[in-house]
Amino acid sequence: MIVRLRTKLALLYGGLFGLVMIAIAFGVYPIVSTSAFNAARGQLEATSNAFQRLEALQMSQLRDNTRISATDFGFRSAVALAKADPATVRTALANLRRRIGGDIAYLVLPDGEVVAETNAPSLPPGLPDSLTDGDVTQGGLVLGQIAYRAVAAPVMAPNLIGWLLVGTRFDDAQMKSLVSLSSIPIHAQLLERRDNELIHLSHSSEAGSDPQQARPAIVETRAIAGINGADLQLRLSYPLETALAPMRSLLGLLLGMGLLGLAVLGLAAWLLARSITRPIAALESATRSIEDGKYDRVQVASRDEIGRLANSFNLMAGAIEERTRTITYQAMHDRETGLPNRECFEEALQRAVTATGHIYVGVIGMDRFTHIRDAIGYERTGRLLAALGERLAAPDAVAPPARLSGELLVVAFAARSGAEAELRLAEMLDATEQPIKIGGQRIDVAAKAGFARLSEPGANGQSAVERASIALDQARRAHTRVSAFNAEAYGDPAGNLSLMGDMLNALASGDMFLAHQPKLNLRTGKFDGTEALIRWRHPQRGMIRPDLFVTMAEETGHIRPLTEWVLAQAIKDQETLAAAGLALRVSVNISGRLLGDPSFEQVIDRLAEGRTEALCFEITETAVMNDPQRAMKQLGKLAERGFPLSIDDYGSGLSSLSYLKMIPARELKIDRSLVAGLEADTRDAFLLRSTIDLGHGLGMKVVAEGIEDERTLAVLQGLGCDLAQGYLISRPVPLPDLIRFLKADADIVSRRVRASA
Amino acid sequence: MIRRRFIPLFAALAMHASAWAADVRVEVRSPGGAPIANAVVTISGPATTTALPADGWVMEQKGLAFHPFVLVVPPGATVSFPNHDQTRHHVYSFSPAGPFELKLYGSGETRTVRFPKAGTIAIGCNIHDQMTAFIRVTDAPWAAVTDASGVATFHDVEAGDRSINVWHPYQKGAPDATLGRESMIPAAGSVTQTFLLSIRKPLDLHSAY
Ligand SMILES: [Cu+2]
Repeated sequence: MIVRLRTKLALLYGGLFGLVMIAIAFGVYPIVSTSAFNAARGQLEATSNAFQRLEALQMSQLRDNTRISATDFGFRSAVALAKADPATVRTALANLRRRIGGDIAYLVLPDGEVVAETNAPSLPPGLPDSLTDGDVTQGGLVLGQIAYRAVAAPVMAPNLIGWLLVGTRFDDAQMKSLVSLSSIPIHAQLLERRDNELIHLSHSSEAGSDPQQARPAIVETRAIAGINGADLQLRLSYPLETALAPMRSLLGLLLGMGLLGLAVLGLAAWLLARSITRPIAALESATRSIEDGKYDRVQVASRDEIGRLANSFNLMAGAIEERTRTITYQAMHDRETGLPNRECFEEALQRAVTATGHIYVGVIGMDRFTHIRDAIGYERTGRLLAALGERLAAPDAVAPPARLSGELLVVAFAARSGAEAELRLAEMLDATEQPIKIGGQRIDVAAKAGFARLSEPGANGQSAVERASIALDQARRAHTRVSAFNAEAYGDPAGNLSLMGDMLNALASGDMFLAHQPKLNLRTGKFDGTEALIRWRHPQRGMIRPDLFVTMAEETGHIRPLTEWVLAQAIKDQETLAAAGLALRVSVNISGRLLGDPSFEQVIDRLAEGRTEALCFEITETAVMNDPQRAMKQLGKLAERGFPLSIDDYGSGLSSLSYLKMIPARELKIDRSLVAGLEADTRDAFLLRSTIDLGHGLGMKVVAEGIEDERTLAVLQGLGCDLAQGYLISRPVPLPDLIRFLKADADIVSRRVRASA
Repeated sequence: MIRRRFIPLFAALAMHASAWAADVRVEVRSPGGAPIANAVVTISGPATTTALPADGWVMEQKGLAFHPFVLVVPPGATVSFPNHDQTRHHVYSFSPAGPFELKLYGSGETRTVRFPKAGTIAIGCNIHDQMTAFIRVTDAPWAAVTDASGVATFHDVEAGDRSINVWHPYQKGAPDATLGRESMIPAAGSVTQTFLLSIRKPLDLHSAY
């Protein structure tokens, strides 16, 4: 197919013009050919008429000459003696013939006898019968293959004594002189029809004389009466080829003009098409450029449709460029804050180079983010984060501060060592923690940070950001302000996936077990309960830290089977304890994730129904705070079933009194961070006291965790704490050790406790 | 007229010789019934006398024509050709029965020609082609030429069985043939015979030359 518009147009116009030319040729051809034909026919007729006049003249001359000769007295004298003296008649005939200028001469006697010159061709036998005695007889006569015009005049003396017949040849020379009369090159031919067959007698030229090979011609035929009834025809012909030659030259001219016109038109169409296709080609290439992300404008001067198209195209290109820029901006920026987003940051990080030291990525996370967001709203939170991002901006930053997600901001900077990076981040935290006003409201921000070094072997920007995020989690878990990424603590991320598979296997294979940490009742000196803590002895990796695989189980959705196993095992252990005569309530930690899981309810119902005296469920304060309404609902259901609830790690996070009072818990476990290094009559002691009083005020027993020395225990006892847990009393131990401890050492411990109280 | 002048003379002689004779009247007509003049009628058979004299025959030239157009004479008759025109004439005949040539002779002159043989002599003038005449030389005892009404009349034709023949210079068929018929001539009274003859051309067509 034709691909180029230029060719299409040229072909279209050329084709149309060609059709018109053909139509003209069809219209002109008959007119021209008819006129040429008629002109030729007119010439033929004129020649034919001229021939007739000429022939009549010649015949008349011959007739007169013959008639006069027939009356010659001497001749008549000879004729009268023809029978007796034919020799004289023969010489007389020759004499007359020469005198007249004829070619043949005969004497026909009334009885049909013919006297002829010696060697003359003989006359047709029937000829004498066609002669009349009253007047001359004239016409064509064919003797052998030669035609004559002949006149037979009666010889009267004074009665008829014979006829004198004289003839002149109708030969080729005659035909030649005849055609010389015509202004057009015709061909003359004399024919005789004999028995329906045309016999050639003479012609003006050899060409075209053969009737079998006659070319198409215009023919004018004139009959010449024979003297004895012979049928002679003069045929004038004009070859059509010659007749139509002028027409052919006209048609040739027409064809030439047509071809010239076609060429001119083709060139014009080509030029026109080029004027059209050039801007179109420009548009096409501009379109391709857009495909490649280059927004070239098309330069078109014309004001026609193409020009308008080009203008529209330019407008469109501008609009697309603008929109693309917007989309690119949106793709690279966080909508709420206007800060660069993670993609933008990682791209910048990939391009980042530094002359000195290494590049570090720091992730800064605000504390109590959901609370702040709930308090000031999403819009102001966005502005808050944007303001914090501005504070984090540094001239030597290798990438602009970006929002990673939620409350997380990410920065990148160069530092010579991890210590320097830690220092830089601490300074950044200081900057962020400066009081800030958003919408006229003063907000105090507290934050923690984790960082990781870029360009560690095998690390890219993305993994650096991830490791910094993990470092932040590690900082939060460790309650430190800034934490470097600890690969050891995090474990091998690649191995962690298989760890979950191993964990599920371990639940079945018995590599999991529960360690128990008893709770000592400071009022009675007895052990009221014990907290069941999951332990995993991995066949290859040894002891796996619970915070690693529990967190992973939470994140990977395996926390329910894990908790289910713990619950079932805790029930078994409790039964074992009971069987050993040790009636201890076993506490089981419930992940905050499960508080949103309706199927967990069924697990409780299935495994622990009615064991309300044997079990206690510990829920961290933060687990409740993440989604208080849902957690409240779930906890309410557990409480309705009669299970005692314990609030774990109280004081480590946001301690909201309003929620605290709503939780139907019987026990409040104070976080070890509040307990560690407790001194009497300090601010901490005062805070702890009010907390203990608060717990009591809400009808809860208060448990202190992480008691490591006797002084702390003493202070807590003094503050009215109900129960104690910690290394001072007992580390978490396997069930047999617990039983042994409770049977053997428990008394010593309780005694010591009582002594310190 | 000349002939008429002599017929009463012959008749007297005949009656003198033989009292047994009758008049014969012959009419010549075309098949269409038109009278044909200048036909020669002869009556033949044994006769005691002849009605045609040997001398005194005249074929004059007058008004560029021969007169009479047809003359019938007996063999051996001499015919004079007086020229009464102001022009000369060159009278000739190529007829085998009696060819002759009278070279140019002027007004008032005359020439004579003797015709010994029976036959037809076609006469022309070499100067004036339209001038034509015929002399019929016959040995029949009785001969006459039809007048303008196509009638030839004979007086005192001797009785007996005789043949009557008619000839015309432009008759169809052989030029020398005659149309004949046997007829018994009675001893007295008259006989009328009618012949139908076809001629080729109008009588004066020869003048086309
Ligand atoms: Cu004459």
